[in-house]
Amino acid sequence: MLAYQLDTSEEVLLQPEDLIISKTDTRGHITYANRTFMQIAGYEEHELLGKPHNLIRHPDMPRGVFRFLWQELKQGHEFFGFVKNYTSNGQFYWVFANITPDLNSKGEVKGYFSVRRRPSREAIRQVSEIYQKMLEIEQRSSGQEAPDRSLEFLQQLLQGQGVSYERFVMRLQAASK
Amino acid sequence: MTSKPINASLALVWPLWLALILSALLVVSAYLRQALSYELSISAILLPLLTLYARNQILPLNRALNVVVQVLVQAKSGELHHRVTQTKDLKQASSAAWAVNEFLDFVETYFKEVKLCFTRVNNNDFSREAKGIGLPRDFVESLNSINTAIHAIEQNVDFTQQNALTGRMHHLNIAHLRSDLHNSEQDLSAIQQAISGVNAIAEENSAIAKRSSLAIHAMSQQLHEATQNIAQLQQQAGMLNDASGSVEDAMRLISDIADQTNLLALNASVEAARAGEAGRGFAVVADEVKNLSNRTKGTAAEVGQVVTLLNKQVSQMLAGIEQSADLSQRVSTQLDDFLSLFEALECSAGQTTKKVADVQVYSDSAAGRISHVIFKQSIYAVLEDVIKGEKCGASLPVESDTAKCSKYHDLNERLNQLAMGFVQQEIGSDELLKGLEVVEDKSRSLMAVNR
Repeated sequence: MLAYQLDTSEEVLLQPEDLIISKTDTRGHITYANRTFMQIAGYEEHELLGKPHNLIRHPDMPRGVFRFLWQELKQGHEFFGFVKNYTSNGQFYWVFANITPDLNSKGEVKGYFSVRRRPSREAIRQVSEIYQKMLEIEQRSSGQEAPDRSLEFLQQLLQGQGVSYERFVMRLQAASK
Repeated sequence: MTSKPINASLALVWPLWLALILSALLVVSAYLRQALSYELSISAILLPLLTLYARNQILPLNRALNVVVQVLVQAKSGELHHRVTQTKDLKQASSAAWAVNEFLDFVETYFKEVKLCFTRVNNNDFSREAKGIGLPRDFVESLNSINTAIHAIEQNVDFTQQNALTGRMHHLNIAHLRSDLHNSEQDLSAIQQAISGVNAIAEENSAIAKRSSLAIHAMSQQLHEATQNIAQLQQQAGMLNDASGSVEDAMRLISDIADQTNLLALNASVEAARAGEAGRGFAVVADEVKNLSNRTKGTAAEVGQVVTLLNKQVSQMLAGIEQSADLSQRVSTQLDDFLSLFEALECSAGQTTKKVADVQVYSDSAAGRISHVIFKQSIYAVLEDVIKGEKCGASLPVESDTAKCSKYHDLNERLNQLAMGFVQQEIGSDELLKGLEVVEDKSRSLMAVNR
């Protein structure tokens, strides 16, 4: 019911100069959000600080994508991905997200740094279709293993194209700005 | 990330407190001296109020300044991840805090991009591009330059890998080339030895053919003389045959004369008988003549028999001589054939010797050339090792005996000099290269000539 409402809601478009930046602690709780974030997502600073980052998660996003995100971050890798977020007033916005672990001088992860840039429209078009299929898989699967199933689908899809996930998203982002 | 403000507010507002205490003291002392006026009372009340107002205004600013300063100090020490948060509390100073935050956002994003790219580059992954979009222009340009640089590094790595590959191949090739050349040199020297052997044999053949030819020539001459002798013998035998014929005629004449003499003696004895006594003596003579003629006839018959025998033998001898002449004629023809055969053999042996001598010249030339090439390759190998720093105090190759005796000896010496100079760092790479080019030029023109 909620998804239906959101589908019909308006999209907020990022501008090329927009750079959404946020930081979280190791548990994913927001410790910093820049003003672009606040303006686009429609939150005040105090509404964000200390809140889990999935506050802005859009229900159209398959959980498998976030499963992969955490897999990558836990291995100390950075993550790139197209993410659909939603704003405080029910609108949505697409971003090309890059999340990296923040390491202290001892090399321990003490938080995550996320930069969101304007995504290419072609990427959103293609990714939306894939996410839709992943969502369908998740809806058919039982709760706990749903993200694994949809992630398997994504990985098989990419394997079929003979391309790594990162190369795939990079290529999509480079396709047309 | 929340930052702890430096607690310097008390330190900053202490003059206000001092002023407040002083004004209170002034009011009390004025009151004690009963000099407290209406204006003074007002100002005594206003002053603390003003002081409090000023404190409330200054404190947030002061706190914001502290937080901003702290974040900047941390940034200065390299910790770019700190930010000023809870900016609402900072009131009008919050815009300063956001300016700092956003500046740090850009700087941190920029450095993250650079770091992430180069971390991957260090692992030979050149797929990660630095993303400038959203950053200020200077940052974008800088990141673009970094992308260009990464691309250049990638090409360089590719090139280096290719180079390393071709280098390894080159090394393999050269190593094998040298051993191949060395084998060829050994083969050539074996060929040279074999050719020397062939040459000796050819010369010997030539000499033997010459000697055989001479011997046959002598034999032929001797045979010729023998043939002439046989012809003479034949002639003389013919003459003897003729002579025996004459003897037979003579014998027949003698036999005829003896017959007539016998007849005469018979007639004489008949006439003597007719004469009787008177003719008795004469009859004795006639008898004697008759006896004599009979003996003559008998002797002539014996001689005739001997001559017939002789004649037969001479005829046999003539037939034998004729056979001999025939035989010697045939032998002579065969000897002539032999002679021309040996002459041809001598000629071809001579030609063989000449050809072999030519081959020897070619093979000497090839051997010299190969030993020169081997020497060059060995020098280049040492130079390569020295340039790569794989060999310090490398020992230079020694010229083979073949190389020493070849027309390339001077060039080889020059190469050795150049390499020695370079190894001992007496000459630089430019001079080395120039020298090598000159040597290679001369080497090429020397090799263009076949002998």
